[in-house]
Amino acid sequence: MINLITLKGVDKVFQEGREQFTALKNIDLNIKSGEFFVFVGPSGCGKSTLLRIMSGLEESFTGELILDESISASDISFVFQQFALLPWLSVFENIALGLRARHVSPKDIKERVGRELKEFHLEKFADSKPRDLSGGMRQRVGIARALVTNPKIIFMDEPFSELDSFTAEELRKEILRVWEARKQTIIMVTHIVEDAIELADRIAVMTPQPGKIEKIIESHLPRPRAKRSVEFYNMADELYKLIRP
Amino acid sequence: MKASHRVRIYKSHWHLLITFGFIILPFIFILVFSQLGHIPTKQLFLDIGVSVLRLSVAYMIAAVLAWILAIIFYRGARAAIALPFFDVLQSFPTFAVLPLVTYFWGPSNVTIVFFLVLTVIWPILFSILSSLKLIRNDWEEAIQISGLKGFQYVKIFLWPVSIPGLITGSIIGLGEGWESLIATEIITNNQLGLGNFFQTFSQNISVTAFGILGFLLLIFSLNKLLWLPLLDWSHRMTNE
Repeated sequence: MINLITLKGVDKVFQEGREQFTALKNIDLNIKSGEFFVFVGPSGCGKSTLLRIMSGLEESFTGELILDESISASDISFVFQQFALLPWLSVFENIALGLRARHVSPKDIKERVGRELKEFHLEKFADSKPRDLSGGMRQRVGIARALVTNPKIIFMDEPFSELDSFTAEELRKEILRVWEARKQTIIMVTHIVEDAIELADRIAVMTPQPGKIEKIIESHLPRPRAKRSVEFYNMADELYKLIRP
Repeated sequence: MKASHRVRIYKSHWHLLITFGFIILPFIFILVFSQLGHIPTKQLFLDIGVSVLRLSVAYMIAAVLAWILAIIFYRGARAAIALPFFDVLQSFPTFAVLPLVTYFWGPSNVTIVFFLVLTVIWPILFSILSSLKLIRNDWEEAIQISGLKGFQYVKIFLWPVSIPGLITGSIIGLGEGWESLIATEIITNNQLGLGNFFQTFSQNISVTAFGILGFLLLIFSLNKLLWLPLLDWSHRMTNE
């Protein structure tokens, strides 16, 4: 597997008046093609900032961000914590946004958006506005919007944090199903250790002040991962120890 | 698109019918008032029509200009330069330039419309700017990730988010516009328009009072029929 993303000595400092705050310190990392990579850590450890740097949303940082030459801006998608759906557009139009930007023909847009609507059980809501949907359905729209352009890398910033535990559980299963079928690279941020263990191939444990990667743990647990297994608990213990030494 | 999913301006047929009644009401009032006050009805309607037309033309020009300026200058280095400049311009007492404008164009429609544009444009511009400055960060990021650019970016993103500001600014701007319209028509001594009507009957208290009442009724009806439903619709459109 090739390295899709390489970070070398990445630092990020926020300036507030005369105060400086180091959000990220000396981040070195490789993320491989087809990998499900999860950053886990408490609030304020810089994991979302790191995600935004890798996705190109945050351009001000020092150090090196190297994307594989096969990656262009149109190969990147993002799933937002608070869905970020445009309320004046219908579900269909929200999902079609990236395709319209790529000047895909209306016929192809209909076909590709239709496929995603079906995948995420949203066919009946194609003409609805986001305000008419529950949180779980909104996030499904957000994920469908990220997938419809067939990106090589999908960034997910705490995609379950606005959802109730039942909906989050369902959505995790759906994301795993889609990832296993399409083999895209998913890079996700979460503060929930159990989510990271359930989903990730590799988990980067981050700690705050300044935000740094404490350790990268490879998970060899077989999928679907049994949340009540000893191995699952052992890994959770290891992660909690790293986060709260 | 299913009707139930549309954002509707009028909540029911009754709502539409009642608001339509509001626009008929001032005309009935003006008709009765002109008959009872022995004022030539045709002249009165002509005065109203000319004034409404002047304000409408000025409003159209101001709205288009304000929107374009807001889109160009709402953020970045351009905003840092332009916004203080706009702020100074909007604080400038526009009536101070009226004699100069009248000197160049006389007591013409151009003078009145130009002066009205100067009055109406600022509330619209600043309201649109405020709408654009309040754009949610993650909406902008979603658009950035999607790759929307150029005309599509303006059409799909900037235009919808600017609508609440455009409508709020229009309501405030037109409120100031009506006031400036009457004042300008009186000051320039133009022979047509509501300013001319109020000047002609300035010695007749009852005609002036009923004239003002009819005028208020007209503005109230326009707000009720057009602007308030539009305002409600625009907020519902951009609220999640």
